[in-house]
Amino acid sequence: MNFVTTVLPFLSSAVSLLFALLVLWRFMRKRGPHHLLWGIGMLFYAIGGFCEGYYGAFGWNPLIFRLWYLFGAMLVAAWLGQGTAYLLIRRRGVAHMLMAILLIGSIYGAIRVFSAELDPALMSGGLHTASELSGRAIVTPGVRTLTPFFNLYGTVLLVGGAAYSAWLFWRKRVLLHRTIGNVLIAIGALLPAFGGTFSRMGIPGALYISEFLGAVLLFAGFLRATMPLPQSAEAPQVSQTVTS
Amino acid sequence: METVKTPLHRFTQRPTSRHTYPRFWERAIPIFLVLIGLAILILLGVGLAVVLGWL
Repeated sequence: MNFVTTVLPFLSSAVSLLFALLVLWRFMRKRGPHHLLWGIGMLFYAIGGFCEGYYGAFGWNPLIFRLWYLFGAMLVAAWLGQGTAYLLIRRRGVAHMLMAILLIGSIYGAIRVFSAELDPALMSGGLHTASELSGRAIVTPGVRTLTPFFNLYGTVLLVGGAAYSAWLFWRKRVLLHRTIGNVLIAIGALLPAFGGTFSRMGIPGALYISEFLGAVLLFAGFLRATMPLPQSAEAPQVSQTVTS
Repeated sequence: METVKTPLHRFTQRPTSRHTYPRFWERAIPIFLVLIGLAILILLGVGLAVVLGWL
């Protein structure tokens, strides 16, 4: 049993599932739409990781592949980003409109993925050894073309939103724990995005390793942002000034 | 009273702020934010290349 292709994705899935349950529990208490969408997004993350681990342990299964591609490759970033949209966009109507577009796009993506023709032999070729799941198995044209739109939308919102929040807190020199938490969230969201890019270029192991580290950092960032530091570390320090 | 000003003072501090984070975070956070911004730009470029069929 290969650690990177089997154990690591299952670990990613477990971390993501735990994070999802925590966030959804927060939604049950506070009813913030961003909590609901982040929770759903992390469930997608967990599904993707599980499918990767399943493939590593048991081999090819078309249903597992389709679930992996739809939830793990196509939708996870967009739904996480949409949660950030609800958090940061003040005009609720705009956020609702983006949500409607995402929902329609997700349904369309699901139809295309589940109706696509697959060929697992295409996952091996060049630098790819077929030890990891790869979108190359999709034969039907136009399906993989959808993915960058979802991923770019989600990455810009999630990473950009976290970085923007971190900058706002840093600029005012307040709530250090939220600044740190948002930086961790931004880095955690970037890692799988780069991992997917490196995977597309044929670098083995990059996707699964980056997904695991990404899940850990996203979770750590969320915990950091929601739990203040000890008073002595959090309290702003008065800067040294020269009095004339 | 004199406060230390940097070229990015307008973007990095409120005009009347006299507070700072602990020293490590004062220096580390802007570096992280710049790197994150660069990473976003790289990903946008790669995404564009994928959509246009260059990658």
